[in-house]
This record gives sequence, C-alpha cells and structure tokens, in this order.
Amino acid sequence: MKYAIKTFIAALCLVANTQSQADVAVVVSADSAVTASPAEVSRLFLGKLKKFSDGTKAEIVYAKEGSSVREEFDKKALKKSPSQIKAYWSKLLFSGKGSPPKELTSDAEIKAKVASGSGVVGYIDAASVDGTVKVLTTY
Amino acid sequence: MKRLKLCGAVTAGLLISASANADIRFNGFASLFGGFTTGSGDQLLGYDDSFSADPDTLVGLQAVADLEDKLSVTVQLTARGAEDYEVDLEWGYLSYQLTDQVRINAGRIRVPFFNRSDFLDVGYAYYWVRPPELVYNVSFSNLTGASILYNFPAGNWDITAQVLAGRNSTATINVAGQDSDFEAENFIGGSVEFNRDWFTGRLGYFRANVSLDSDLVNGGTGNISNAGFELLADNLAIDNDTGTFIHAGISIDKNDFLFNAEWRLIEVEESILQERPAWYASIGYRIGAWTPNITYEEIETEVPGTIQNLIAGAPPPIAGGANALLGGLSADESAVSIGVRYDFHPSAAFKIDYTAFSDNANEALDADLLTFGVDLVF
Repeated sequence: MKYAIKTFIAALCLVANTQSQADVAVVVSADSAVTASPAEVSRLFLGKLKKFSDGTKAEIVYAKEGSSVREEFDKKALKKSPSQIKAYWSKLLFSGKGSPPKELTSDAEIKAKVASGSGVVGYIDAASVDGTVKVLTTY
Repeated sequence: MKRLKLCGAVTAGLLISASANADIRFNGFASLFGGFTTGSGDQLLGYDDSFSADPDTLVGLQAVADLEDKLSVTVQLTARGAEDYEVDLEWGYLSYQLTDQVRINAGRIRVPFFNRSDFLDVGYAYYWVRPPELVYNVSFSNLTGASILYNFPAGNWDITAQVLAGRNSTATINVAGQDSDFEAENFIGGSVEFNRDWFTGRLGYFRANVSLDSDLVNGGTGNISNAGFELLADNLAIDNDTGTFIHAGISIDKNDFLFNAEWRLIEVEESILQERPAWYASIGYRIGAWTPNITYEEIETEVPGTIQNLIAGAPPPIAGGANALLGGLSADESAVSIGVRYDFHPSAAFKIDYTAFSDNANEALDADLLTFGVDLVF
C-alpha cells in the first residue's frame, strides 16, 4: 500500500513536471553512437549540416506541422516561429536547393523511424522517451 | 502562344516521366495584390491612380520529378498579371546530385544576382510586398545554361557557392517607352553566401557580352557616326560590350530584429547603360505574428569619364544628341517604403505597403503607391 502510494505520487509529479515544461527530446536510435551540440542540432534540423560530427549521414524527421511538440522545438531549438520555418523551407524548395523533411504525426511513429537507422534523428515529447531511443539533448 | 506550347510539351514530358517513376512532387505559391497611386494621374511600378490587381499578382507551380540515380527534373511555371497571366516557363532544369554537397543544374536556371533572387517570386519568403525595385530591377533574371552549386560547412559557418555560365537572348529593355531586345552572351560568374546563426553575407560577380537592339538608340548613334564622330557613337552603342555586375549583401535575423542591405553595381562601360550603382537598407521587427518594416532604396547612374570627355569635344548638336540618348537610360531615383507583414495563417501572410518614390531628375514623376494583398505557399 505504502509502495503504491509512493509510486502514485511519483507518477503525479512526473505528469506535473512534463505538463508544466513540455520538454522536447532530440532522439536517435538507442544503439546509435552519434552526438550533436545544441548548435549542431539547429543546423541539422535546418538542413545545413548533412552529417554528424563522426561522419554519419543524417536523416532528419519533423513532427507534424501544428503539433505542440513541433512548435516547442521550433521555438526552443531553432528559435523560429512556425511561419518562419515555413518561409525558410519555401526558400529552399522553390529555389531547387532542398525540400522540407518528412513529417510524422505521432511520437510513436517518430520513435519507430528513428530506431530504423543510426543517422535518423527526430524530436519527441520528453515524456515519450523509452528504451528504443537515445536522447541527444533536451530543450 | 509559343510559350504555352513549350510549357505543354515540358509538362507532358514530366507527366510521362512521372508515370514511369511515380515520384513527383507538386508545390505552388501565389501573390494576390492590388494597389493604386495616391496622386491623381501618378504612375508607379505598373499602377496608376485607379485600383489595379495586376502588377504584383502571380501564381507559380513547381513540379519536381525524382528520377533514379541522383537525377531530378524541376519545372516552374508562372502566370503574372503584369504579363496578362500568360503562362511562362520560369525554370526548367535537370539536376544531378554529384555528392551530398555538389549539385549540377542544366537548363533554364535563375541567376543568383541578389540575396533573394532564388525565391524572388515567392513573396511568402520575405516581409516586403516586393523586393526593393530600384536595386532588384535588372533586365533579366534567368539564363539558359548550367550551374554548379556547392554547399559545405566551414567550422560554425555554412557556405553556399555557385558558379554558372550561359546566355539570355529573350530579355527586353524599355528605352524611352519602346521595348527593345537585349541579349547577354558568354555570361559567366558566381556568388558565395556565408551563414552563421543570425548572420548571412553574400558576394557576387558576373560578366557578359551585352547587346541592345533599339531603333531609337541605333538611329541616334547612326546620326552621330555619320556626322564623323564614330568613336563617340561606338562609346554610346550597346553592341557586344562587356557588362559586369558586382553585388554585396547582408541579412541579419536576431532576436526578432531584422536587417537587410544590398548594394550592386552594373557597369557597361562605353555604352549608354553607364555605371548603375544602387543600394537599399531595410529594418524589420517581429512582434508575434506582425512584422512592421521600413526600407530606403536609391539608384544614381553616372556617365563614365571617357564618354564625358568625348561629348565635351563634340559640337553642340552632336553633344545634345549624345546627352539625349544618355538621358533615356539615366536614373537618379529614391524611395522610402513602410509596410507590415501579418502571418494570419500557417501558409499565408497579409501584407500592406506604402511606397513614396522620388525621381530627383524629374519631380513630375514622383509618386506614392499603396499596395496590399496576400502571399501564399501550397
């Protein structure tokens, strides 16, 4: 009984914590050896860096436009508003210099995609992190 | 009509390749703007004192077909109000992604003259209704040729370098109200853009052999030549003369503060095109979804010393004729614009702009223009 109450309180705290901060975790496959500093994360997710520092080719995955995790990530990691991000990719798209990354609709889909290769990198709600992924950095 | 046929052929070609490979992406953009000059009888940038929605309205469609083995085809079609909504093949090129960092494009390509040349028609990508016209107004923006694009990181910087070569033989220049054919051959040059976090800088240099076929100019220089002043006539005619284009630009986007400035110099020495330096500086500030902005731009052409000396040595009727020809392509103009961009939707922005234009050589041409409308991407 005592144990159950403790767990319940711990769970409550965890929920309260994630809700108040809504942290975003940048994740790669659990067995991936890649690393990235916050500055590198920003350049990777804007398509400027195409490889990690160890030479692994990067494949970036975005969360669906309009999702709260996407807005948090755009604001905290890329320091841009959703329309700035849209404008940024429009520039590349209509100048033939690049196309926007693939968008996936849920944390589960992103985790599955990330687990599929050592260079695949995405971001999810920090509360969704589990053993299938490794956290590079949290915002 | 010829253009439409060409587009039809290209589109058909794309559809065939699409059905064969089934990986084709369509995207589009549109600018829907209207405006009017505030003074009775005033004209500016295609507008007059009654409301018009044509000068800045355009729709663009882009199709990218990914073929196999690093090859892709990009076609961009535009229909502009300023050209009676005639469908035009803006770009059509084949791309070969040699490595992660090197891409080769061949076909009808955009010349990277300015910071925003690559996405000039995509108004959604900048805060103005239109980029500063006195600086951006050049006789052509596309080329038939090839380019090599090289992207690479250098420490904390990201560098984009591009070299290209080709020709443009479809441009026209307005000389005293007459559209005259303008040709740029042996066009070659390059640009380099360097970006770090909130700072982007850009440098460019291009050159070409340019020719202008204008009845007015040919007649004028013919008369000067027949009068025995052949050297002066040669120095006025634009006939296979070397033209150069030099550019420097910066773009800052830091903590919602935006600053843009560009300078360019077009020189076709020994011709009536003269030296054409122009620049602008622009400040914007992002407040939530709103981006108020203000821009100052100017152009002031200068007659090269060699031509001035030749004119000084000619008798008054000849000098008068030469000065009249030079006057037709001289410019001493400035403009101040204030505007606001409002991002009211994830894919659309409303913009309003008020531009006060001054012609310092002829005050009768001063005009104020109000424009407003919406830019979309889809």
